[in-house]
Amino acid sequence: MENQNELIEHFKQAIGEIWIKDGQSTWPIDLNSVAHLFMGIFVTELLEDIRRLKSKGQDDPAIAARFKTPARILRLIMPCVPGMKTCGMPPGTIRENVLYILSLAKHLKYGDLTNRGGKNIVLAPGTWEDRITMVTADKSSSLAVHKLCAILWNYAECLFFRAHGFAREFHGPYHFPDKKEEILVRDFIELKPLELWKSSHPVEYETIRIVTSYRDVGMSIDIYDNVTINADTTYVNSLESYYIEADGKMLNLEEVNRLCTVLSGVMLNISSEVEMLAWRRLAKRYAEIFWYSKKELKDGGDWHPPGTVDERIEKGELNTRLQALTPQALQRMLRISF
Amino acid sequence: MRDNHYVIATGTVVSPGQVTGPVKVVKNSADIKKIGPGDIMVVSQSSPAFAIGVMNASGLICEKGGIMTHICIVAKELGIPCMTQVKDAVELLQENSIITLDALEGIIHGKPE
Repeated sequence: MENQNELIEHFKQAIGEIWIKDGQSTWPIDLNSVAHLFMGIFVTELLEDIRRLKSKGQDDPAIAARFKTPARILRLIMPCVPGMKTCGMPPGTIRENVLYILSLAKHLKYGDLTNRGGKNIVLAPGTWEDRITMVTADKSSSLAVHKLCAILWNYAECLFFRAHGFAREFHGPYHFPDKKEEILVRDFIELKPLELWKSSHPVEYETIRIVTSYRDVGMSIDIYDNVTINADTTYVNSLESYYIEADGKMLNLEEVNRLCTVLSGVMLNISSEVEMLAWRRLAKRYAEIFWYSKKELKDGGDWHPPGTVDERIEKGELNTRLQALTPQALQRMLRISF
Repeated sequence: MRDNHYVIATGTVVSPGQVTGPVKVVKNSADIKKIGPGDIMVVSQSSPAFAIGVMNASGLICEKGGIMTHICIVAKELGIPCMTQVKDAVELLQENSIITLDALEGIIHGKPE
């Protein structure tokens, strides 16, 4: 079992690898340019929420379960690190907090925490396979299944911007007993966050699970559950079988196609709405998204950002320093920040 | 390079395949309506709504963004030939001009008029 130093090093290595291949994603605004306006307040409140739950007798597994998926916890860490620096925390304290948050994610995962070996194993063997019925795929059904996957990906980004990890967890590759196929599970949650986006109301479902079985794709999944397959293969041509359920109910292809139309419509409406917003409104939206991601820690209380967030955004300016950093400088920052 | 064809640009292959078709440059959500089967969609930066355009397109070229950019992931999910990090793609690729996106070799070809 890895010790704390090894865990931190494995985490940093996993994040560094993502930063190399991820490229800059700035829709609808670069998170790095606005995070300094609210992440210090966010992380202070996050740690306080956890302390409060612990003082009420909640243990770590129960607190972790409130986040629903490990991705949701793991993707919080790196945005929180500069927030902790803003609050004046020394590197040792930041490191302790990172280790604690990592330990929470561990409660929601069966396999290696940092996905060493390219595997994101969330589900324990024997706990889920028996309750699904895989359907044999053909070219037409494969296209329909992957169209839904593609739309949901972008729908998640539309709802949660760069923090789309709050709405999805891709895990695997799993293997059914005595089978060689690689099984990928794409879980989407929070598909109807009406408190954030009223216009998401046409979407009937809160959660969708897509289970797909591929042959010879060489699947690998990184710590942010980005999936890669061999460069010369495609998902569409490699699908053997699939299973799709929404809120626990199995969906047929007719329903999948109808759902794609609904999701596309909502996505167009929300992205049009977002693209009209000036940067301060976008920063407030980003803050709301982060606070929404921890609303389950509030036990039904008000989850919204405090008024100080609005004030800081109104008085603040964009930070352009991080965009100017080279990949090498970003890697160095990662090494020394905690 | 094939006979009579010249290299317009190169880039990073996201989703393998080869397609020839007209260039359609997409700059905003309204532009996705012009994308039809056979078209090669060209974007500078990604927006979630652009995914709807990719679903109708036969190829995708991105000027910026890594292989994990969402619009690239859409192309990969659907098995549509796609390249990213194609420098100055929006400037180099003229609307409606016929090009070959060779997402096997990482090259975009044009044919002289």
